[in-house]
Amino acid sequence: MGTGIYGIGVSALNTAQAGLVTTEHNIANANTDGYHRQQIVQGTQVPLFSGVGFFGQGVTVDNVKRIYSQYLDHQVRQTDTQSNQLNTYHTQMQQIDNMLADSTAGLSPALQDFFQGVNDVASNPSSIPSRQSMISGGQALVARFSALNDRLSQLRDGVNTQITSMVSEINSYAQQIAEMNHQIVLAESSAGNFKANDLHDKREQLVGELNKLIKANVVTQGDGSFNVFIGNGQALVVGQSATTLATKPSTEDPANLDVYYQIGNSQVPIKSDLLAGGQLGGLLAFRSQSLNSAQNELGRIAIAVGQTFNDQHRLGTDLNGTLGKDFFTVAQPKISPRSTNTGTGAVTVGITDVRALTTSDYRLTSDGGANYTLTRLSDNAVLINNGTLPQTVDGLTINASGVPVAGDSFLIQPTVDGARDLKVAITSTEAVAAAAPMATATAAANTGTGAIDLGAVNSFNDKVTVTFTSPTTFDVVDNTNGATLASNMTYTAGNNIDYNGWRVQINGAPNTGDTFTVDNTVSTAGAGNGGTGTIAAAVPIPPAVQFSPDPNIASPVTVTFNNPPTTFNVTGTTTGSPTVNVAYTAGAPISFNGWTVKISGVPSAGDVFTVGSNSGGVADNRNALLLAGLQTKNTMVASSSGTATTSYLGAYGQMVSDVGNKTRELQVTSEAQTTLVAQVKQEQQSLSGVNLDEEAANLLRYQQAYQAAGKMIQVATKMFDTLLSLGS
Amino acid sequence: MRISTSTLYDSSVATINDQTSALLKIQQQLASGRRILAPADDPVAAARAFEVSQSSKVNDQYLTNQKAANSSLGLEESVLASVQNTLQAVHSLAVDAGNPTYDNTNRGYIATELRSKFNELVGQANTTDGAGLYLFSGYKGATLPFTVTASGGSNIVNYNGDQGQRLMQIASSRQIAVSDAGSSVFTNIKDGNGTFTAAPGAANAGTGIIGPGNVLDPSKWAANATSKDYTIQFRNIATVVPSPGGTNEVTITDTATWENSAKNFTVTFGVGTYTVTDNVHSITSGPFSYTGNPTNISGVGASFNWAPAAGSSYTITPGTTSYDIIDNVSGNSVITGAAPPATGNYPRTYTSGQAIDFSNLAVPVANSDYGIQATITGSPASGDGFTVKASTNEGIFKTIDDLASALEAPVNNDADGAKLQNALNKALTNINNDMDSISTVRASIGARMKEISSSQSSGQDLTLQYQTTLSGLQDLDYAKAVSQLTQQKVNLEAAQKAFTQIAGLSLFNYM
Repeated sequence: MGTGIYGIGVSALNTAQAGLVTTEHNIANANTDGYHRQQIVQGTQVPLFSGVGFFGQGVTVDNVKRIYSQYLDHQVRQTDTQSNQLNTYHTQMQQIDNMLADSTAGLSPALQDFFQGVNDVASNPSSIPSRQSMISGGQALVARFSALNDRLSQLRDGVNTQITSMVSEINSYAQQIAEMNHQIVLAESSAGNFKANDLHDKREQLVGELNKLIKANVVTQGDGSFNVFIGNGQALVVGQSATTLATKPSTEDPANLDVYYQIGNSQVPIKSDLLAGGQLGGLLAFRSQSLNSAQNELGRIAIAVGQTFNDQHRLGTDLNGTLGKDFFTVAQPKISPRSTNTGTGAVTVGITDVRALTTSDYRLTSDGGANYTLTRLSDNAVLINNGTLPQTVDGLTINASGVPVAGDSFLIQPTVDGARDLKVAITSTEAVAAAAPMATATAAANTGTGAIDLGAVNSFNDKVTVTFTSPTTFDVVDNTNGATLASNMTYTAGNNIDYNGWRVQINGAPNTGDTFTVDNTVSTAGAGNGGTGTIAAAVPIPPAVQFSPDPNIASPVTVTFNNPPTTFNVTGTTTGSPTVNVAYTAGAPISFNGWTVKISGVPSAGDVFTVGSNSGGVADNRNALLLAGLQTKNTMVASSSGTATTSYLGAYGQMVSDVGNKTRELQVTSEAQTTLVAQVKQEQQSLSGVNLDEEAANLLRYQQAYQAAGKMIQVATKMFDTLLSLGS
Repeated sequence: MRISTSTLYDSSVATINDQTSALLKIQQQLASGRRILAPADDPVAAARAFEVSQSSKVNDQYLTNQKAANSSLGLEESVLASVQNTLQAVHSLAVDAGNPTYDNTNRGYIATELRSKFNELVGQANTTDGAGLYLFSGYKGATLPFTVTASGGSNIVNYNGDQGQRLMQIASSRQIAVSDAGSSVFTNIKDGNGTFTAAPGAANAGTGIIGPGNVLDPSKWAANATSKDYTIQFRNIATVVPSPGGTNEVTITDTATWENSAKNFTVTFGVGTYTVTDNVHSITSGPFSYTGNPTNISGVGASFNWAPAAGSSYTITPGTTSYDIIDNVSGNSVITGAAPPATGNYPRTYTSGQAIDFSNLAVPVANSDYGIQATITGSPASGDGFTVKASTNEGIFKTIDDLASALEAPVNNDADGAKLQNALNKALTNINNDMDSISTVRASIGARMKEISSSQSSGQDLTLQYQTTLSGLQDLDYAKAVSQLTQQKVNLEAAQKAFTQIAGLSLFNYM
């Protein structure tokens, strides 16, 4: 019995001590990240049988248990990786949002200042200071575009830098997890069923940190080690070995860094959209969903401003009386052959219709022969399905040359450099084309009341319809101003058809009623055509290399009214028909040589109206007025019917609204996610966290247990002393 | 529920962070006065603010353009006002020149003054604007619009500009003309009554004076008068006793002489000679020699269209003045439709001052009416003609130059007097036309300036509206923000206080 008493007392002392140690461990680690509180599990010792039954043999510590719920810890990691992705995306997005926030520094004041200069020229067409203010306004606008684009490029560079540092952090965590696997296996191999609690905490803490960077899935192995997978199943950690990730420029777009995964000796890129979750996922999503489109949207506005302004500017004449040149230099689409291409194929892309431009990038893939497939990356729509080139799609004319190998692909970014590469091409104030190239006049000897208006230049961007009135004749109508350019022209297959500054040829056998249109210099055959007629692409009339007004626009043309003055004859024309006995309708458009005039009133027989060169027309502001009108004209974002739906600033407002909405959305979702994380963490902490009050109580509990056990030994000693004194 | 100690701290800190950032946002809003600090704060309002601010800026631009248009038009208007003053002076001079007591010298003085007015007007028409561009040269702003070349005593003014008119955008859908080409202001002004112009033939020997005429029905003139180029041709046939018979006749070819004479003569012929007897005063003069047909009988102003036999004698008394209207293109009479008779009376009899109607004509169809009326007074001589043509553009400068030239021509007889009177009539008509034309341009400028001023006031209203809209979209409601600031401050203080109190609670305090 004696040993029993001592034995029980000692076991109680030991157990209380273990309890105290565990409580102290909890108190000490109350603020340690990833720490789960521990408890001792105590139980009775194996009882001793005697004749009268089983006597208890005291207490023993069965286990030191970690208060841990795999479910809750998993939830914390899941919500946390999501929250980190949203937060990172939001933080990046806020930078664009803030850049657009300042109403005095954005695009809008620069655009308005530029058009103020244009209006100045319209008010004072021959004033050199006004012309200078227009050019300076243009330079300021270009600088603003460039500054905004620089900021976006900096963000892209920042994303690349952060991706690099995150990938190296991920590698480091992977190493550490592999190391912990090793330690845990080592520690537990000789420990039976006991867990190395603190090592587990540490490993789970590492997995948690990894999840903040990228979403990682954990599969526990039989030996207690963790296998960690990222993306769509790429193993980052397997047992005690970790794989290394790397960053390298994307094979498709060298401006972006991609994450590569090491398999054996080769590195395979992981698709960006597979790397979801965590800060890395947030960065990649920001880059692919928002940064690219913001830069493209800005570029598209710059291209639209440059292109539409140039087109109008080329329709005018400058102070020296020569036709206007390009006012801006406009960016060309960026074409990046995939770095893994093996063929010699090359692709050229030109912008033919600025209205139809989208903000998307495109991928052109070769089948190794003459056929290509074009995919629009914003919605993955296949625009050319294994077809031949050249083709015009979304305002782009795409052509290919060289010998590609099947699978070779090209990334086409039509607008990405738009804002960066917009430049002012004109330096001399004289070169501003404020005047129109032709002028109208009423002969002084006219006796009727007929009056001719100031006239207008037909733009090469006007929509013009060629309608076959029979298989051998056709009419040409300018749909933009309603003028008949020619009627009853004889059709000869392959002959040049020149109007408004462009040239096309029609081949084959069109049926009566077949139509062909040239709209914004893009020629198309009518959808309902029954004949076999085909139309060639519109080109500038040689020797012009750029679309410009009709080459004969300034040639002298005379309109003479016949007797009776219900018809008139026209002489001096190169394009346009008929020229003899043309029926007169007051106010109807009359179009020849690329201009349109209107005669109204009642002309008398023999009355003469002339249209000719506008030489010396330094005070003419007709073209400047049209240039100024571009500010509010709808020139961008074509509807399905091909009509432009918004102005420059409208498109910019759309961009601001897109960025604002996305930022707002991210702000709301990331706040919600943060709340969710807090809730889940609270639940997890509620189970596994250390409560110091509770530990204080436990301290008292185990202290008292220890004191009680001590008392037990004292009692046993006294009993022993009693026995000893009996003998003395 | 079990709460871990770190949760207690974490959640308190998170709450305090939230409160602080909300407080910071209100502070930023208050400092900037803007409700929307970044587009994300209210994406819809931010995008809308862009649109409204563009509209507002464009509207400001229109206001600027309106000012520029107003000043251009104001300059033009002031030049035209002085042009009109000069024309008034020219008009008074023309009226003055008709004073019958003036002799050639007096008229010469007036002509000199007119020439100086002429130069004044050329100067006014060549005015430049503030930028050194000519006001009235159309698009050719750097080209001198009006140049004068002397040609045979008259000064011809050429217009070197074009017919361009500068427009300015003063509202989103309104472009207004801010200039007028010199041709439409100074030179393209119809002469005569605006529909047709009547003028005496250069060789007229009679004293007929033609007025500007009336247009009774412009549509008939436009539709029926196909050539619009006619001559009212006169024939003044004396009564001859005995009747010479056949196509022989005596015409009065010098009405000035005839009208001042006794109008009753007997002409007696010898061989190659004749004598004239004034039957009223019984005075015989002559003999006078002649060859061929005896024309311009001395002191009578009559012509014989045949050679009378020697010894014959004819008594001449007033006969009939008749006229025909001849289409100068076809050469036919429009009254009869046929070629005018070589001798004998024309189809209509002339009475001084009675309207010559271009009606009841045979061309183009029977009973045609040209819808116009001419009036001739005085005595046209036989063979005199007056042209009636569609009005053409004459212009201010030619009118004045013609008038000055007419005044410089000496008046020696009644025929010259009639010529002068015709020239004065024509000049007065045309000066009135010129003044009307300038007035019309000025009225049009006035109307344009009025339109600009109404655009200005609606533009200013719009500015206010845009500002109100913009302010509503992006400006801060200070009262609300300040009250929010106070509330947020209380919240933060409460959170801080609660934290310190909770953090102070620990069982260890009692051990």
